[in-house]
Amino acid sequence: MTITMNALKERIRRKELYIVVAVSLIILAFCGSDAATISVEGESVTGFESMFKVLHIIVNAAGCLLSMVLSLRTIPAEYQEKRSHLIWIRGVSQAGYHAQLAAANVVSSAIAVMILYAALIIYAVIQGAAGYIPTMIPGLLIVILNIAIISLLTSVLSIGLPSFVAGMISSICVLVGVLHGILDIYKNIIGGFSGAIVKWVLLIFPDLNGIQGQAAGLVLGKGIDFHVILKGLLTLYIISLGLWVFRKKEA
Amino acid sequence: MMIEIAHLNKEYKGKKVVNDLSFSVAENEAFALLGSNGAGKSTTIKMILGLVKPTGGKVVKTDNKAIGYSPESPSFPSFLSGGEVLTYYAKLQNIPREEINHTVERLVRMVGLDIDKTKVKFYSKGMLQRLALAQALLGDPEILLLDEPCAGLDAMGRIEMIELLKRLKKQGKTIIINSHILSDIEKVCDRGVILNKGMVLRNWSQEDIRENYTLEEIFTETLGGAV
Repeated sequence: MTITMNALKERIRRKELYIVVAVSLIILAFCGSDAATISVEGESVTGFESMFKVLHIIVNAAGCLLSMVLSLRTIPAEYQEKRSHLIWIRGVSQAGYHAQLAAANVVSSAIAVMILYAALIIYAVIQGAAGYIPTMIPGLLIVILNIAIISLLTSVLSIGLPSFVAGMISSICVLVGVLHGILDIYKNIIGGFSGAIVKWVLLIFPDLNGIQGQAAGLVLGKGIDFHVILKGLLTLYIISLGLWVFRKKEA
Repeated sequence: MMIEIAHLNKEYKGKKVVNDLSFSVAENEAFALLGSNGAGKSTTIKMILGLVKPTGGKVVKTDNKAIGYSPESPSFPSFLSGGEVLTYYAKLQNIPREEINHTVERLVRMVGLDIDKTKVKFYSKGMLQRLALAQALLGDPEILLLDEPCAGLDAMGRIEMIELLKRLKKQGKTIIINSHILSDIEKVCDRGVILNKGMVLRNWSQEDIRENYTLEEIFTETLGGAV
C-alpha cells in the first residue's frame, strides 16, 4: 500500500481534484438555476425524480470521463520520470507496482465522483427531497463500480499503449458505455448485419449506463437487477487481469 | 567475484550502445566505468541492475547480495521532504518500522543533508545527488552502483563525497562508479575500464597510475586515439 498512499498524497497535493470540485459546482449551479429545464420527448422535466434521473446520467458520464483523465498519466509518468528505477531495484514486482498505482487511480477517481455526487445531495436538499439522501449512499457505491471499471481499464491500457491510444480507447469505452441503452434500442431497430455489429460492440464494452440506471433506481426506491451489478464486477475482475498481462520490457 | 559481465551487448534500433563488454568486479573492490558521453556506461549499470534487458551476453551476480543504486539524474516524489523520500523507500524495502526513523536520520546525516521539511522539488542538484546516495545505502547493501555520484556537487561537496565513498569502501562495500570526474575516480577506485561506443578500449588499475601516469593522461591517451 506504500506506493498507493504515496500516489494519493501526490494527487491531493497537486490539487487535481480542484477540477472535480469545479465540475460539480457547475452541475450544482445548473441544477439550482431556474433555467434548468430539460425536455424529454417534448415534455419539460421539472419534478425531482425526473430531474434526478437526468442529473444522475450527467454525473455518471462526467465521473467516468474524469476518472479516465485522472488515470491516464499515472503509470506512464512513473516511467518517463524514471521513478520506476528505484522501485524495480527494490524487488517490487511489476504487477504489484502497477496494481498499487492503479489502486491509487481508482481511489482518487472514487473521491472525484463522491464530490460530484455531493452536488446531487445538495440538489436533493434544495428541492426538499432530503428523504432520498440515505439511499444515495448505496447509489454512490454502485456508480463507483463504473468509475472503477474506467479507471482500471485506463490504467491497464496505459501500461502497454501510448497515452494517446489508451486515452482514445478509454474514451470510446466511456462513450459506448454511457450510450449503451440507446445503442441497444438502435440495434433492435436496424437489425441485420449492422445490428449484429452493434450487438458485438455492446457485448465487448461495459454497460456503464445499465449500472448507472441501477444506482438511480435504487436511490428512487425501485428495485435493482443484481445481474447488471454482477456483470460490472466481472468486467472489473477481467480488466484487473490485465495488470498481470501488460508488462514493461524495461524500467 | 561479486559481479561478472560476460560479452554484454545492447542494441537500440539496430545501433549498438554496448558491444561485447566483459569485466568482473571482486568483493570490496571499487571499480570505475569511464568514457565519454554515449560510451554505454549508464546502460551497462542499468543492465547490471536488471532495469534494461541486454540484447546478448549475461550479468552474473553473487546470490543474495543486496545492491544499492544511485541514478545519474535522480527523480524522487517532488512533494516529499528528503526524510520522507527515504522513509518511502525504506518501507518499500521492508525495513522494520521501528528501525526506519533511526536509519533515515543516520543516512541523512551521513550524506550531509539536514533533516527538515524542505521539499525535494526545492533541492539543488547537489542535494539530490546526496539524497540519491542516501537511498542507495538503505538496507546496508554490499554492492553499490553509483552513476555520476559527484555530478552537481560543489568543490566541498565533492571532497565530502569522495571521503564518504572511501569510508564505504573501508567498510567492505563493493562499489561500481560511473563518472566523468577522473581525479575523483583516481582517489577512490582500484581499477576500471575505459569505454568508447560501448566497447572496452582499455583496462586500467592503480598500478598504471603509480607508474607516473595520472588517470587523466591514461584517459586522454586512450580516447585520443579512438575519437
